[in-house]
Amino acid sequence: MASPAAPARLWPRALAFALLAGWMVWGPVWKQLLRRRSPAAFEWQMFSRLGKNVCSVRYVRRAPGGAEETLDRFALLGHADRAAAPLDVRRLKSVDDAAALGAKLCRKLEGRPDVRLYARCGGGDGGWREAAAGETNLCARRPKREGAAPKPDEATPRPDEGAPKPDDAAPKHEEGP
Amino acid sequence: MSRARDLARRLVAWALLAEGSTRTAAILRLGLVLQLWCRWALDFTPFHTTSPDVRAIGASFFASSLLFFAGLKTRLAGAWLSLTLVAAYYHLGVRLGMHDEFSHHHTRLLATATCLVALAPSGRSLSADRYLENVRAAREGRAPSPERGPLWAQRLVALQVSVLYLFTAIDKTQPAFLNGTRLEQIYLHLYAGSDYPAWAGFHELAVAAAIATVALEYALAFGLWVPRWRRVLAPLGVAFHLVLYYCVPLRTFTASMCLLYLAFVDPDRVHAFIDTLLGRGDAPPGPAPGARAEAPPSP
Repeated sequence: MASPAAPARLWPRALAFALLAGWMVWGPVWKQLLRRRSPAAFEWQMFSRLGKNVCSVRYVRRAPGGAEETLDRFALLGHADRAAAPLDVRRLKSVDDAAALGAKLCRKLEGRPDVRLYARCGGGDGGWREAAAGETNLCARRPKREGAAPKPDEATPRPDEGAPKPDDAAPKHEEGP
Repeated sequence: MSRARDLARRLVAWALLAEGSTRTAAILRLGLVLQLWCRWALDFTPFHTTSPDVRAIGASFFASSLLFFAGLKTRLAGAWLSLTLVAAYYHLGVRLGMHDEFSHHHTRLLATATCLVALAPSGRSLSADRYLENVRAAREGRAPSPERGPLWAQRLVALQVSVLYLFTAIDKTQPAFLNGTRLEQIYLHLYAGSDYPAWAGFHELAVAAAIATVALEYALAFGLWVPRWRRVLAPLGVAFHLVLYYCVPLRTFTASMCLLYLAFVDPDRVHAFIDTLLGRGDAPPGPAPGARAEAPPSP
């Protein structure tokens, strides 16, 4: 049984309900499915940004015969363990950062070491992107100044060249996902 | 044809005509304002900013949210707070680019839900307005007005929760998420740094967690409307959000989602639960004269 006052109140209420429900559904359809932009449209994308700038890295020392030995970058740089290392050693954001750190490792090793980098970094599509597969000896060319990344071999194209860096747009303080 | 008309009639009854206890709306009002304060109070304090825009909107935020929380002139306070939140979102978040403070999707959910609750008669329960009505009724020797009102705004809050789950699930239905990569990256970013975990099963765990997350979000998008499924899905959803809160930086989002689940629950059951909690043992409020009783939760 409807309230006696209901018919008079029903139309504004129905209009408000339809408009608000329509707006709620239209926003994510417009932005997420149709890839259009509008400040009035709300999208609901979570887990979409956090962690996209992280690289998974492994440094190895390659012997003349080709055998590879994994290097402990924390120990080589004088940190007791990973927890004791600064953030820019623990978490590398790009293959350039990883190569620069590799150059520091070269200086810590004796002789004429052959240090290679294997790295996967977050890609624009959210997946892993192969960024380095040990093509370059990071110690082959000394960087001009402390901390600068060594240039890779001329013939070896850098896998991440021109790739966007998703974290450039990341928030100043972390929140996610 | 008559079946379609019957369905339309049931939809209108469910969405527009249904009435119930206003205590659910009142709890949502109180919970949302507390979360708004957790989220924005510091950003809006005058010593925290030199921006005159933030200070002006902040003054409006504190005044309107305080009134809305207290439930004093609740309708007016709700409209005022809603306008303030819209100004904060669009002017500060979108136009002035303070995205993380004012237009992040966590704050967007809070603002949207608050605007919707402002459309409900939440001041009829747990409010200064209610207290004043009870005092007036006692003085005039009449029964106070019932704690009842239309539920259409509460339906919209529930719809907002479903839309959020559905579209975040659609967004995750892509190889990069379902193959575990995104969760691996988040784990590395927050915990392992650039060292991919060496322990066995890490990748398999990431894949399983990704698939379970998406499946649960699809289930929550639709299943919370069905009372029988809700009994299973609501605790699962709450557990899911609590685990997320523990593992990743979320701030108010977990509390927002858990609170908004209330919008799916029959408000008269919430009313009776509070009575039981207070040891009053009153029956749930009867329908106001001529009002339609709570309709089934889904059309």
